[in-house]
Amino acid sequence: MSRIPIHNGILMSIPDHSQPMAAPAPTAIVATAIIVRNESQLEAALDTLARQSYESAYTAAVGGGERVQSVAGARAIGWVSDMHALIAELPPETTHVWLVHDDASPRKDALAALIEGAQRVDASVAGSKLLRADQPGMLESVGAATDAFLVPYSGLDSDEMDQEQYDVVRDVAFVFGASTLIRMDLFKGLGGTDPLLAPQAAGIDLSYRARAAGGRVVVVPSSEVLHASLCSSQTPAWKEEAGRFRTMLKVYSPVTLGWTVPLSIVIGLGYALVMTFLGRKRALVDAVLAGGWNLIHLPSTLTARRRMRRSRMTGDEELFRYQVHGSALVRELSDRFSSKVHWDDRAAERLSGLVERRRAFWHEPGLYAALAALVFLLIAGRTILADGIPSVGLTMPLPDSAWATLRSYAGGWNTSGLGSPAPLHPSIGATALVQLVLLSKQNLAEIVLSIGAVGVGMVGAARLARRLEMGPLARYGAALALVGGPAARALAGSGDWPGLIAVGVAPWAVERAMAPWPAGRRARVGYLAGAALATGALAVFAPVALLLPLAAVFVRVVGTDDASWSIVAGAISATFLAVPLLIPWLYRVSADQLLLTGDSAYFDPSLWAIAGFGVALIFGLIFGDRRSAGLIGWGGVLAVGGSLLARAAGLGVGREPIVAGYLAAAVGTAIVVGAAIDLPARFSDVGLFRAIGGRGAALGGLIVATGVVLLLPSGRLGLPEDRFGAQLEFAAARAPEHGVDRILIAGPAGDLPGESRAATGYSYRVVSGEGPIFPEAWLPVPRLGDEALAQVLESVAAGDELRPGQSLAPFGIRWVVLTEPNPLGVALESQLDLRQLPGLDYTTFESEVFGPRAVGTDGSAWTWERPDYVGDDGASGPVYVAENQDDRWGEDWAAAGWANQVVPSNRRVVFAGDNINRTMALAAGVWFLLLVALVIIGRDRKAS
Amino acid sequence: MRRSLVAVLIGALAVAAWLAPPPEPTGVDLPVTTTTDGPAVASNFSNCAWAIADDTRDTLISIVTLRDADVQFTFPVGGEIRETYPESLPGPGASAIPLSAILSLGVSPAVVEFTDAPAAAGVMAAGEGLLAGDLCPSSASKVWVLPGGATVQDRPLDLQLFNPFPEDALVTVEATSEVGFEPAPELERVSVPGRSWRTLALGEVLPFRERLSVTVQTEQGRIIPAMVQTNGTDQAVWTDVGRSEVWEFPLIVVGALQPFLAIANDGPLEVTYSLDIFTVDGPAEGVAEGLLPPDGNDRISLAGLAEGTYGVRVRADGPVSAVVIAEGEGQVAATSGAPLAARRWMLPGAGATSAARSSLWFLNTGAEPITVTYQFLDAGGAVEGPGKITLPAGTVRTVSLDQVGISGVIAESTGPFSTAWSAETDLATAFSSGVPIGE
Repeated sequence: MSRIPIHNGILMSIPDHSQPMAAPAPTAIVATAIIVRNESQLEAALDTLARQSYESAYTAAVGGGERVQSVAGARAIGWVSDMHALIAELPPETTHVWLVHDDASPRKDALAALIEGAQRVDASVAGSKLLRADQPGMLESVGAATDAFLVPYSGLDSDEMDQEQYDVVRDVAFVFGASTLIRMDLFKGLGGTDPLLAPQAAGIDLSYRARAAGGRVVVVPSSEVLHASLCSSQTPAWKEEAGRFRTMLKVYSPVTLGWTVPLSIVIGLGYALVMTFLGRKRALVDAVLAGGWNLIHLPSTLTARRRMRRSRMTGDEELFRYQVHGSALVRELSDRFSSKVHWDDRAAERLSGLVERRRAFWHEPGLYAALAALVFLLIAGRTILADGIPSVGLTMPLPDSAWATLRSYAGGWNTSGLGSPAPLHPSIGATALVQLVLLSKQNLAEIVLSIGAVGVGMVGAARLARRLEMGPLARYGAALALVGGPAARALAGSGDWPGLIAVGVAPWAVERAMAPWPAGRRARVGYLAGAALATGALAVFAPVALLLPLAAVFVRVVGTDDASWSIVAGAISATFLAVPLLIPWLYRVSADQLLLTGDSAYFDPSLWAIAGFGVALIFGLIFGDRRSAGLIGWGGVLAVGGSLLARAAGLGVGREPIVAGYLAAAVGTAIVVGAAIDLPARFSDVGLFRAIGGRGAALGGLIVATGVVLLLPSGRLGLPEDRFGAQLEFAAARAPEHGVDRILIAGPAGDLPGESRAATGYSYRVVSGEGPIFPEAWLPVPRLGDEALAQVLESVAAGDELRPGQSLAPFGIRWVVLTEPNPLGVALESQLDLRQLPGLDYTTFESEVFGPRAVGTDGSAWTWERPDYVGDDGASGPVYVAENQDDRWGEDWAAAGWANQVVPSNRRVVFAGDNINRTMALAAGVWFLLLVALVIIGRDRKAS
Repeated sequence: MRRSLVAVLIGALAVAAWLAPPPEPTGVDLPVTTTTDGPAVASNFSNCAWAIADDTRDTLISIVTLRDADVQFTFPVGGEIRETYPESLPGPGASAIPLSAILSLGVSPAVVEFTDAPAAAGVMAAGEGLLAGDLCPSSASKVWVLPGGATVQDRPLDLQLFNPFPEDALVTVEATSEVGFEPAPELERVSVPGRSWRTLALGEVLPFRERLSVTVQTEQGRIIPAMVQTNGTDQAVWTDVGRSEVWEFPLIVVGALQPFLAIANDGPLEVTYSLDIFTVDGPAEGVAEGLLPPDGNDRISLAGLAEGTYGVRVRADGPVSAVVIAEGEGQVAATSGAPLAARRWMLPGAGATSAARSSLWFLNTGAEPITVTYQFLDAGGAVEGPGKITLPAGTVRTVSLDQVGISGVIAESTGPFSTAWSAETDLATAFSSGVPIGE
């Protein structure tokens, strides 16, 4: 053993190979196969092999052309064209095959050490330690692990010296193919190496197949080989990627492939995308080439997979044993980012803690759950990502200007229908606030609110399940059941976008209410503020659900001994503290409006969902332990009670309580499913019946949770398809110079955008000509104009109006859209001044009568700039404004029938505003900020 | 124990949820009327499918209104509004505007709109040897049934299809005659451009039919049809005023004309009907009976059923359409009947043709005597005081309109009755029914 200095002054031991190991007893008859990739290197390789202390019984060159054949003839060794030929040529007495690359220079005792090491541990495949040929003191490979996607992870630094630190025979995921000894029978059984694969991938492939066939794969570090790495440097990177994927397809079971393939693709693409910006400009191209290569070679891959099945002796668990957790590619990216970012000392300290925890992080199943959830959200929300939310039901696109919406919300003009000073639904204010924060970006706000709500809801459900001490699998089940359960799907399927957002907030509100009362005054203030914020966030999207957290904790406390009454007190306080967030809407809305008006879908879950839920509930109650049964009972009361409320439309219950019922059902379902899935994990030493019952409950829960896949096909998170988006774009295209006038839409009540008004035989509503926008979702209480419009429509439907266009013009209505045949449509077949527009999705009539929303006495139209009206240059004089009359439209105001006549100032007609509503809206905003501040203060205290 | 209580609570909630009824569907289940409209009643608009003005003929477009109203005549031609003509009337009042004063382009159908209802309009074409009158319907049905046509030699029969609406219409005309259903590709999917009209010469498509009934099925859009029968120089025009199980015809015949009743059943079931006769002396019920097969029609001679003036009531056990046609040497007149008996009627155009002898016809099919009060009207309102006539139960009466210069009549009575009016010259005759005023 000699010692040489290295750069840090430490003397490193270099094994002395001048005195080779004594040859072991000749118990192995070895055939040496030189894998020829570069014909010019063959002779040098043969010279090296000739010096081996352990003599091969047979030596052959594999591959190459005439030059190789000539050299082989000259050196009296065999030559075969490929692995299959080699297998046929091998002498029958051969016990092992030594595969050596032509760019490898094994030390004299390399083969002897391999044989000795392999036989000592009864290994089927043994690999040598590879040292860099140009720097023999540096390690290239001592065997390696892979991740689940077969990406190699050596654990070596890029310039790690060989200090014999790894010199122990050990099992590894794979050995590099530069020097590999393999048992003859296994070699024959596996059909040799895969000729299609790049060198490293071929090593991985052979090792994995050998292990799957029951063989042991080890590295024998005492067998040293100097490797010039020409084989790798001459191989494109994408070929290695492609080879790894092919191997994955060959060796994994279908179940494993079910998650490794999609994740591998997603991670691979993500890695390639990032690497494109980190210097590897061909990364994306390589990813595409690798994918294409695998597609082309898929038939041969499947053939190889079938062959593999015949020799398979072990399951995937055996393969996983030698894999690292997490993704090697993600880990590499993390390392690159870490090396690129410079931190101050404090940050570095924190980061070092993170780095220390990083290994544990990669072992966290939550990482993969989060990745899977992200992939799910991207797929389930792909249409929203591409086109924004559909326009159907209460799902309506956000308007261009969030500020205009906030103006309306804060005491301004409610533009819905024919207008009103009535305050807007709180969800409109909340969505406008989010949109404003996102720089008024309409599509971005829709994406954040929709996909974000579902994602946040899944996290919230998992967090609630964790609060209830459920295991990881149960948390994931609860998360899936929340958004994929029948209640959430039905709510989304009815087009209730604010309801869908509320589904995302609901578990957080319940979780906050379930949190134990903290110690310390500031922490308690923060706790209450947090609970109030969560409850308020829920209530702004579903006002009656304000009571959901309180009801949930009340049921919990009454139904079990595991919760204390203090959380009820906390929930009561949070509920009261959340109320101010709902003003001014809550202040103005009547009890009838709140509880008895509005349509919502009748909850009618599918039989399989009922069956799954019923099994989880009943089996959980019967066979669950005390705690699990308590949770399932609690969730069951919420789910079934919520379902009752969600089916109460026939009893005269209005939309808001019904939505609250849906939310209770969704949260309850998540709790039941989570607790049911958790049951088997909580059992120990239980009888057969309980064990079977517990698994039955878990199966029922899984059935409910699998409903989440139903969100995938449409790409709209379960929201219905667009009904009033592209279908109404004609209006903007046909708009006159002053802008789009109003559209009257008539059809069945449940088939119209947002709320509607009933007429004889049909329902109808008025929307702005740009198409329905979310601030118009709820219709205010009918006023004079609405009554006048109802009379006109009644007259038209009765066939008494030969010129409906003329009658509708004072309302600013230019188009009439019929979603289905109805009495109004029948009447419109015989009239004189509405012309049907051909080629549209719905039967649509366009008025031939000039009827803008606002018109001056000189006949010039004024442009609607929500919520104001603007005249052209020089416009002045009284303006007829087709909004429900209100004297706050201008100082010099006069009623014009049901509408307004206003003398404008500065070419602009602006609603002066309702001071009380404005003050209350501002107070709600201040209260919101105060709660946020208190939460931050409370968290700081906790942190300190 | 607590677990059991929770299970019971969940069970109770589940049962309650199971029993919770779904909401009643709102607003969408009412049938959408696509077949036939009910009887025409006075409204705030009328569609006159046929009016003509040329060198030899002119048409009076007559209007009657109960209240002060502005009236607008609109003449769609070739896809556009060729002319509009405003008029103001005091209520009650009547006016008759010569079409030639507005347009003189031959056939010029019109839409008449009133700013206030009830009001009604009718047409009366006059010329050398020509009198043809009809009321203008205020509905636009999907299905129209017009019985009573004939295409025998020298009797041209035209079907006028008027589409005053902006959208093009597509109609199929199904004809049945004495030989049954008459397949005629020329009458299938006939396009009628919006704000225009089209005339189908049925005599050329289906010649030599003695009784021809047509059903106009509208596939797209709406039209208003009118049947125009020619006999010599005279013409008769009538339209469909609906389907009814009871039809009253106060006016059957004037002079030496031969009256016929054309009756059609466009329903899927066979219908039996019977005829009652009402003379100035009283009724005679069930003087004739008949059976109409599904989609069948009949033409019954009414001549000789009674002496002198008489009216007819048709009673059927299913809804039918009915028209009375009176024919003579070079003369023809026709009118739809009254599908209901009302207490108030408008008779636009009655007495407006100065060259003709005009009469009012009243029929009381009830069991009680009634007194009918009739008011002559012109553009200035009422002309003279109202006239009165008493109708014993089950009798018919006629009143001669000697008054020249009136444009219409309003009649009302103490009980339900029906009414019509006629105009005749030596060479021509015209019949027209009245328009009931809704209660």
